[in-house]
Amino acid sequence: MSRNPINFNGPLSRILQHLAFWVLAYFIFLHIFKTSQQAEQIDHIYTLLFHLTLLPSVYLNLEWLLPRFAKKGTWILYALLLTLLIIILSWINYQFFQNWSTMLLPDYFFISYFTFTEVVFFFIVYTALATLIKLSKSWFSVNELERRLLQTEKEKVQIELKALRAQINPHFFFNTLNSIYSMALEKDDRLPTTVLQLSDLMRYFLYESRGELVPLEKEIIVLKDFISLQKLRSHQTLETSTDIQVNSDGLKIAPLLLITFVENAFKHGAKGNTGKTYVHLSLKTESDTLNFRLENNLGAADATMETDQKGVGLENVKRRLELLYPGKYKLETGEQGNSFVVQLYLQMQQHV
Amino acid sequence: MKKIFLMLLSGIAMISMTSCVTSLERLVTPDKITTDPRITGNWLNDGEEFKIVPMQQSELVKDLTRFLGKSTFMTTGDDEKDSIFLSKTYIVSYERNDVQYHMIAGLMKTGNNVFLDLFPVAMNDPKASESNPYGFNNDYLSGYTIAKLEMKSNSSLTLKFIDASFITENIKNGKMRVKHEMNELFGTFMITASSTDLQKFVQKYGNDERIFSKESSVTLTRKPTHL
Repeated sequence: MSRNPINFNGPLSRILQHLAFWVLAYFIFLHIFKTSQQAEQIDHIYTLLFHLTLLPSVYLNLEWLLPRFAKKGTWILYALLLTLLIIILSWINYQFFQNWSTMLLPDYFFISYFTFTEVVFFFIVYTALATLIKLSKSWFSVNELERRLLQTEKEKVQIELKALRAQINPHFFFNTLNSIYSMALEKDDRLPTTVLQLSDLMRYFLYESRGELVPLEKEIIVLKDFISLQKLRSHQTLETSTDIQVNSDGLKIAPLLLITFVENAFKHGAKGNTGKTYVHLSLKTESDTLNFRLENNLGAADATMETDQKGVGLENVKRRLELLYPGKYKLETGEQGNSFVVQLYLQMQQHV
Repeated sequence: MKKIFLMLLSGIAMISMTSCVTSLERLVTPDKITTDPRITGNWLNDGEEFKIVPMQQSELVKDLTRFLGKSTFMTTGDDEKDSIFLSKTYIVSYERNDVQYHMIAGLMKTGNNVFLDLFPVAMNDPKASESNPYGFNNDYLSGYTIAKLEMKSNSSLTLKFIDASFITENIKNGKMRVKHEMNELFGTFMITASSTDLQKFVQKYGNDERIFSKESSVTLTRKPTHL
């Protein structure tokens, strides 16, 4: 059973906060104001009445002046109105205690113990204090709102990433299983090894790639296995080359990021072509920067593919790069003669 | 020497009005002080004679200056203020049991009322030492006694003193807020409020007859010139 968190902005909470402020102010004032060891009845009455005259100043400012005039363009008007309000209410306070109180409390004898300037000062202090408290509360609310917005955005990104990753796996497995099916029909001796390699890949896809980042060396092994699998099911004219010069110590990368490009290279380059086909992979690291280059021949399958299916994998990986490596990558894709080239520079994270 | 003046016994004996309130601070300040020439002269009350003269014309001041030096009258420590006091205050003198009592009186107008404070300044006992006949006594702290002054005619002057019992009773009941010191053991009471607060108090309650003592009201009638 979940418990509802305390709502600090609810009406009851707000009333309690205001009550706490005034009670605290009351007792501080009383403590300073009393003339003997113990506060007498007259001290309580005076303190109470004094605070009652402060209420209009504080609340007219908080509820009317501040929301309407304390903003860009009307700051001067706000300052003028606030000054006017404080002077008028201070004057009323002074007159009440010095002259009018006898009408209300004829049996109590007290005067205004402060000069008019001192009363104005009291009003300024209380109004400023209440304003500062309100502004600090607003500041905390804005901060909380921003935090929640960021949290929501993060959750949204996570959901989106999961959806994108879910799109990769069926895509790959669908193609690979088709290859295995063909090998089984041809009674190919390499089938058991292939199934084992696929099994390793599945383990990686299903379990090891669940984290946000995986070791780069792991991703490279998977990449090599994937290319082997693709070579097995390809015809003899497929030419593959891998140039891997990587110092992957401590480097981590988002899982299944590179494999998507390779998968696309085979899908669009090798598939459906009867002539010379090739996929050349170059992978290098310099410090924490990855230089990934992939080149494949332009495929005949691209010409017959439905427009809405074209480049789905590439779009997915671009979106993932934007989400995971904002401002830390450079991706160039395009045709160069009869080749399709992917060039990716990626600043990876160093993990101890 | 200034402390000597603050420790006078004489005032207590002079006024002999236990129901009057004594204040540590003066009611009449230099910026509020006023004069009324009508109060000067010789006055009578129950067979006793009171003499009121402007301070500068008082023989007492000349005597005290001779005995104590001019500085003893500089009660505020400020030349300008002292000058105002010297020029605008009065000396009230009377004699009882062959002893002369002297008080300084300052007047202040607030609203339609005139208030004065009385400060016991000296008592002149002829039996005392010739070198200092103004037998000061250091046993008591003297203070200002506050009264409302009413002149119904040029020949009648009434002093309505603030009622000590009314003040103390209301303070004890938590119905009056005035800074004060009270000694329950000896039953002594003194107001310690500032001059500003005292002025505000008499301004607000100057017309409230409850704060004045009926028993201690003193009505003086002008002494006929032929007597």
